[in-house]
Amino acid sequence: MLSIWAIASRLYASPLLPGPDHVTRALASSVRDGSLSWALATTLGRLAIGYVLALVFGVVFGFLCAKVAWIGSSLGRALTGLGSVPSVCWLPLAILWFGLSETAIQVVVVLGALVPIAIATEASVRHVPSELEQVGRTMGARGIVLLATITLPAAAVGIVAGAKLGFGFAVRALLAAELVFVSGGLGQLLETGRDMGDTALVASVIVVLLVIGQLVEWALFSRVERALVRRFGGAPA
Amino acid sequence: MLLRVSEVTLSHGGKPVIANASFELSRGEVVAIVGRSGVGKSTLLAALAGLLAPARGTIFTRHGKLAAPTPRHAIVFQDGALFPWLTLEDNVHYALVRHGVPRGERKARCKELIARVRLAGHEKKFPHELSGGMKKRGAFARALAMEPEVILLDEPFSALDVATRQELQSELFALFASRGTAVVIVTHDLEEAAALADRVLVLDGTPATITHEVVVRGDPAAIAKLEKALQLPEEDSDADLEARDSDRDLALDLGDRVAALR
Repeated sequence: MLSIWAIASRLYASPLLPGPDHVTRALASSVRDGSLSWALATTLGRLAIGYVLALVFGVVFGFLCAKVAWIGSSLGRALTGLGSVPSVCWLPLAILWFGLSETAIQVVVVLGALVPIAIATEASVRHVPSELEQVGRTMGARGIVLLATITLPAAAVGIVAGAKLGFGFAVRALLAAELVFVSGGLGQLLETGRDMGDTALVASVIVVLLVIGQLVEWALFSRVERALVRRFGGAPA
Repeated sequence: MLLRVSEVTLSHGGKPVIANASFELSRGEVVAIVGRSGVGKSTLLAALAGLLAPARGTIFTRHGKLAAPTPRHAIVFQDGALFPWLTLEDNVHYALVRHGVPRGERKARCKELIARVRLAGHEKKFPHELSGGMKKRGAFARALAMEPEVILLDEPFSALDVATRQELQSELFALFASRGTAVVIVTHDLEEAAALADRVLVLDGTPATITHEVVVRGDPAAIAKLEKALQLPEEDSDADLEARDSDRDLALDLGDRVAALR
């Protein structure tokens, strides 16, 4: 892929398509002047806070939609509709509510990632075989014990799939918010590259985003998925 | 008397499924519930486990009215319902924790229970790594960990080959008999009911009622009585008759083996 990219950039020979060597130089330059590390730290910090909040609220909300009839039939149905709203659409509202602040960006990230996590959690909890919970109840498991020791582990495969999907949504929502609402981060670095016509800088930020995605997949999701496959059976992802 | 079901009516979504069911269960007794598919056999079993509250009537235990699930009434489902995220050992361990077995005793009890169902050496396997018969043995080990007075079996031997089924039945029912555990088994297989049970309750109608209560232990005509009670068609082809005779011989043989073990 790298070779195809290098050949294409040589053949096209235009600043609009920088080759791997140009992108590497742009990357090294932004590391040297500190702009990349600052943007990276800002984006990762926002992502970590927003994603963890979305994960916690999404799992809790999805669980409530599955287990509490009136929540499921009212708010649960709205989830599907909310899922079709692009998360960046929340930004103007978030700015009106919270001003030009970190909170406004976090609201967009949380709303972007929460919906797929909640939908996946709701579906997974609903599909937990009733026999597992019934066996647990005859063994004296009730309330929070039943939830923590049977329902949530039984729904783990679907919840992890939702968490993985939610991470992608969180990254997209955050980058969109950072592009629109200039406040530091990789999104702003992308915007700076566009303003300066620096395609190598834009491409280098895209490379960094790809690396982040691969690292999170390797260090977190693929490990969790392998552990689940070992326990539940099925083909490795 | 371990269990007394008194004029119990069970409903699903406001619609009665079982009406006015009454029977008793004594220590060490085996009662089978038979009836057509969808008649409400499993619903009745769920009520005996305390998982479904009667719309009318009462289920009494030695300890009073049955109002909620209790560890004294263990249930084993058709597929075993082992927790798929736990190893066999951890499934049994979970039951021991819930049963309040002291920490220091759990490991030895776990090992003993797994050995009792002849699964020693498979402790670290997850349910998906066990065969159908092994999963069921594991489910029985987990149920026995609760030291139940009554064990409720929801078609636990279906989908097993004849040899595995008979081996499992004779071993497990001997184990229940040695502990004095009463058993209620739901089955659609009349031969199985006649071979394993002391009494058979026949459910029929809409809503279902207990139309017959047949004492089958030691009765060579038990299967014919059950067929009559269920009003099964009498005109069978030669092939059907041969197959049924073969099943009946196997069932009677199994009944003899279980009776001998008791």
